[in-house]
Amino acid sequence: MSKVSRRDLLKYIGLGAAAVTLGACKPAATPAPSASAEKEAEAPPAAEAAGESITLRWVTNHGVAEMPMFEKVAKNFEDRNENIKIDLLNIPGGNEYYNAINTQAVGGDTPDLFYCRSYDTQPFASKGWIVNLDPFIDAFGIDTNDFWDGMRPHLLFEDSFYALPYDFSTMGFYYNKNILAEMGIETPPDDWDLDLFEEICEKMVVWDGDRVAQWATTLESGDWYWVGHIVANGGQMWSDDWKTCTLDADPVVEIFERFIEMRKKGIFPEGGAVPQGVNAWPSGLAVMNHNGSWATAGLREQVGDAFEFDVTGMPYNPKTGMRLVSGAGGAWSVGVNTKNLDEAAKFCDHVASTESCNILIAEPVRSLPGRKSSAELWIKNATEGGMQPANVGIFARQNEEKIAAEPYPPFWKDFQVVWSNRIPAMLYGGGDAEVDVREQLALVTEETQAAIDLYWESV
Amino acid sequence: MTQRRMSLAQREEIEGYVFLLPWILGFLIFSLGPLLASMYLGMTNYRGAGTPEWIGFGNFERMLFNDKLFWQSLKVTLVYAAGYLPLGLVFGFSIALLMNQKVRGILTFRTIYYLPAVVSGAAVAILWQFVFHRDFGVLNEIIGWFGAEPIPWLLSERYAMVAFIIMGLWGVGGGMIIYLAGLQGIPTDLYEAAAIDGANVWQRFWKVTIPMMTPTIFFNLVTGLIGTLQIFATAYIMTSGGPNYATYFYSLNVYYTTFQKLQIGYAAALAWVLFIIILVVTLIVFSTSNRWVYYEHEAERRPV
Repeated sequence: MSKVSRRDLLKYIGLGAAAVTLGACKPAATPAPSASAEKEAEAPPAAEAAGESITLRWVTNHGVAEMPMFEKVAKNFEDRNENIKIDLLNIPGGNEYYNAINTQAVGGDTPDLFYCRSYDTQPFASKGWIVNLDPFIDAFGIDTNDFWDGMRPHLLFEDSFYALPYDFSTMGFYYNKNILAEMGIETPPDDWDLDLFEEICEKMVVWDGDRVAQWATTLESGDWYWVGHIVANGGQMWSDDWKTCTLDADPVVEIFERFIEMRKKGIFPEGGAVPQGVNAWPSGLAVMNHNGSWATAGLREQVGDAFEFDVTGMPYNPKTGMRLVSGAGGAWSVGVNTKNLDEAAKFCDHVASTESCNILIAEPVRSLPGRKSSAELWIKNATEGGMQPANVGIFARQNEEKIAAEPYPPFWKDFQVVWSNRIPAMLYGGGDAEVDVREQLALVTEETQAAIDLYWESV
Repeated sequence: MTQRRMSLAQREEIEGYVFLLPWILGFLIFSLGPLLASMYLGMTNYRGAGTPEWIGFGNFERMLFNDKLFWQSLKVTLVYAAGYLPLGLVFGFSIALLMNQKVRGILTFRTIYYLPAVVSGAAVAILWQFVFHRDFGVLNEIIGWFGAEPIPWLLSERYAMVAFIIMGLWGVGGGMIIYLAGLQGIPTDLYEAAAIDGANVWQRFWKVTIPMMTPTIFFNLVTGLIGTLQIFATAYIMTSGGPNYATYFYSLNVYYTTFQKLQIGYAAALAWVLFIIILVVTLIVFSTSNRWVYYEHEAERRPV
C-alpha cells in the first residue's frame, strides 16, 4: 500500500475541516410570527401524544438569591405534570434580560413563559410576541377579580389579558427611625400630604456651610415612578387615545417645579452630591429612601442591624386627593412561538397562582403579591415575622386606593429614551445651570410626540 | 511536460481553496450574509414583528429630514472625533518619542503607558465615573488646588464631551506601541547622515523622523478614525447619552433604536449610513495620503 503523501494528508485535513464547518451550520432562524397572537390562542396546535415528554422554557429576570423559590415553583409543577420538564433560565441584569428577550422574539423563538413587566405588555402584545390568554382564563377558571384593580389595565391589550400577575409594586418612603429619634422629628404619618411632607423633610435637612451634610430623602427620577406624581397633580402623560403627549401642560410643569424647589432646600440630593458608589440611605446620608415595595428584602439585607427603619406611604396631593403613587408590576406571559401552547398556558396559570405567589412573594415578604388572595399571608408574615419594616402593609393599603394605574402604551420604550436623557438633568441639576422646567418639558413633549406619531404611522 | 505542470498548479490552486473554505464559509454566513440582510432590512420598516415591509429609501428620508436625534448623534460623534483624534495622535506620538529613549527602566514605563489600553471598556467607564465625580472626584480635587471651582463633568452638556476626550487620551497606549515600533524601524544611518550634514535635533526630527513616521501616523489616523466614529461602551455605561443628549453618540443611537425602540429596519439604515460615512472619510484620507505619506520603497523607485 502506497504511503499517503504530506500534500494528500493536508488535503484530507482541509476537506475534513470544510465538512465539519458545513455540518456545524445551523438552519435559518424561524421567521417572526406573522399570525396574530389571538389566532394562535384560538387554534392551539395538535396535542402532544399522551406521555410524551415536554420541556417548557421559562425565562425570568430576578436576583440570583431568589432562584431557590423559582425552582420550588417549577418543581411543584413538574411533580403534578410528570411529562413536563421546566428549563428555568434567570438573567439578572435588566438590559441583558431585555436584549435576550428581544433577540429571541425577533428571531421567532420566544420562551414558553417569560417575565413581562407592566410596561412590556402593550409593546410585546402589539408586536404579536405574546399570547392572548382570555381562552385559558375561561378554560382554567382563573378568577380575575383576585387581580388588583390597579394592576388589571397593565395586563391587558385591546381588552384581552396577555399576562397573568406576579407582583404589583408601589412606592413609599422608608425612613431611619434612629435619626428621627435623635433629631426629635415626628414619624412620617401614612396620611401625610405634600405640604406636610415638605414641612417634615425640611426639618430633616442638615447643612454644613453651603453644603448639605444630611438630606431628608433620596428621590427616584424613574419614568413610571413619576406617572403617579404627574397624575396626582391633575396632569396626564398623554391623551386618553394615546395620540398626544401632554407633558408640557401646567400641572406637569408645576409638580416638577415644586420638587426642584425642594431640591434647592436640600431635601433630596443634587446631581453629583452623593459620593460615587455610595448608597445615600443605608450610609446615613439621607433620612428617608424613596423606593418601592420590591426593595424591602434588599434593604433589609443592606441595612442589617445598622439602624431601625420603617416605611410610610407616598404623600397625598391636596389638589386631587390622590397619593403621588403609580403602580407597576411584574407578570408572566406565554411566548407566541411556544410549541406547547396548552402546557405553557397551564404553567403560566400555575406560576401566577396564589400558591406560587405565596412561595415567591408572601412567604419571603418581597414586593407585593399580584393576587389579593396572597396579600393576607404577605401582611401576616410582614407584621408577625418581626422583620423590618413593620408598616409594610402600607404598600397593600395604597393599592386599594385610587392610584395612577393607566396602562403603559406601546410606545413606552421609545418614550423611556427621551425621559432618561431629559428628566434627570432637570430634576437633579448639578450641571451647568438650572434647566428651565417649561422649556425642558416642551422638548420632552416634542420628542415624545415624534415617537407617538411614528408608532401610529406603523400601526 | 507542460500539461503535467499545469495539472500540478491547478491541484495546488484547488487545495488552496479547500483550505480557505472554512474561512470563506464563515465569512459568507457570519459576515456577508448578515451584512446583506441588514442592507435589506434598512430598506424596510421592520419593527421586530410580522414581515418586513419594503419602503425603499423611506428610512433614509426620515433620517435626513425627520429625525433630530440622527443629526444630534452625528454632531456629537464628529465633535468627539475632531476633539480626540488630533490630540490622540499627537499625545501617542509624543509618548512614543519619550519611550524610545534609552534610559533605565524604560520597559517599565512602556508597560505602564500601555496598561490602560488593555483594561476593558466597562472597567474604564466605572473607574472614570469616580474620577469625574463633581464633589468627590480626583480631577476636581486637583483642580481645586489651583483655586478653580469644581466642574460638573458628566452632568454638564458643556463638559461631558471634554470628559470623554480626556478619558480617550488616557488610553493612547495602544497607538503609542505602534508609533514606537515605527520609530525603532527608522534606519539610524539617516540620523547619522543628517548629523554629519549639520542638522540639529529639531531638523532631524522634522526632516527625518516625521517623514519616516508618516506611514505609521497614517495607519493610526485611519484606525483612529474608524474607532472614534464608533465609540459606544463608555457612553453607554457612564451617561446613557445624557445629559440632554450631549453624549448621545451615533453607535449609542443605533443601539437604542435597535434594542430599546425595536425599530430594527431604521437601525439597520442608521448602521449603513455610519458605514458609508466611515468609508467616505477613510477614502478621503487615503486620497490625500500620496501628498504627505512617505514610503521609502516608493522613493527608491522614483526616477532621479
